[in-house]
Amino acid sequence: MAANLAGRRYQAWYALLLQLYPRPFRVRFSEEMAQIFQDLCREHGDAPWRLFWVVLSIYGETLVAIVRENAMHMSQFGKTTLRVALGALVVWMVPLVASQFVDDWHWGVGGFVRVYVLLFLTGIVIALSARRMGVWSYKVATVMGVVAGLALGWSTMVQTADSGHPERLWYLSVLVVGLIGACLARLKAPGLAITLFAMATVLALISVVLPSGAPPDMALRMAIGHGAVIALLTASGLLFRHASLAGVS
Amino acid sequence: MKQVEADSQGKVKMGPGTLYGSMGRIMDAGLIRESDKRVDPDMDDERRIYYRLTSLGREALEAELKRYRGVVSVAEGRLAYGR
Repeated sequence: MAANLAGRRYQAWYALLLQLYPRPFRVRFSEEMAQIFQDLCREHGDAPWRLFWVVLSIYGETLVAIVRENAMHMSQFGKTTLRVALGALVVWMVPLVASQFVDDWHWGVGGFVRVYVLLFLTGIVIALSARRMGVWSYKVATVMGVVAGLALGWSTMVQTADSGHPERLWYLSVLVVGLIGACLARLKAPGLAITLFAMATVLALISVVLPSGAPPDMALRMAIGHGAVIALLTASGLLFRHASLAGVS
Repeated sequence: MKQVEADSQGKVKMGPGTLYGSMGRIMDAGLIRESDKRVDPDMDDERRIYYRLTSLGREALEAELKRYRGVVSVAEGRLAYGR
């Protein structure tokens, strides 16, 4: 009886330990590993001290394997980050070169830095989301959310640079909400749906509260632009909700 | 795990972490894959998952065995020369 209880406790702790593996490895092998551990506990269940030492050695061996797998996984993430950084640099060259030929293009160093950060963050979100892109609704929602975020960030920076109204940088708080929400949700569909709805709400509030200070025709175009981005964010949130109902985590 | 320990006369012991870490890498390299074929009905268990060598895996194993035989042959030659 006591041995069974100890065995079940050891198995529960082993199941917790397996959670430390990187997700791809965990999905592939954790069930088999837990089954093997259960079989070993059953085999040595008659000798509690022997069971204890066997379990301890397996915990240690598995922990070393976990560190090794995570190190390998991290290096893959490092390669992804480098690829995204280089890709963002290539895209960033376009406005950098174009600004030399277009007369009214007056971005300062800060503007170019912000554009690069925006491109890099967009690339990282796409790279991380690509691993989870199983259901069509998740893919489409990701693309729509990224396009809306990029459009909002880009237009905000262009307008701030051109108009000299730094308060328009408040629109970037929508992207901050998105970034925090995506991290908290760990890119899972249910959390992302809430995040996208929150972004649409924040943008709507800022659009109403912040005076545009622009002439009427420009203000109308800005309102249409805001409406389009809000619609994109809301549609993206609905698609993530659809993905979450389809069981995509 | 038990087969490895038995084949090495107890010299090599591996736990699930080492076994599945290696299996993951071998599968990613395309050297083994899951098999539907049940080997021995007496030993079978519905929980068992069977793996088999791919043709690439067979080639890699043969190349590795050939390398081992070459190394052993050189070592035996040196040993004979030393006598």
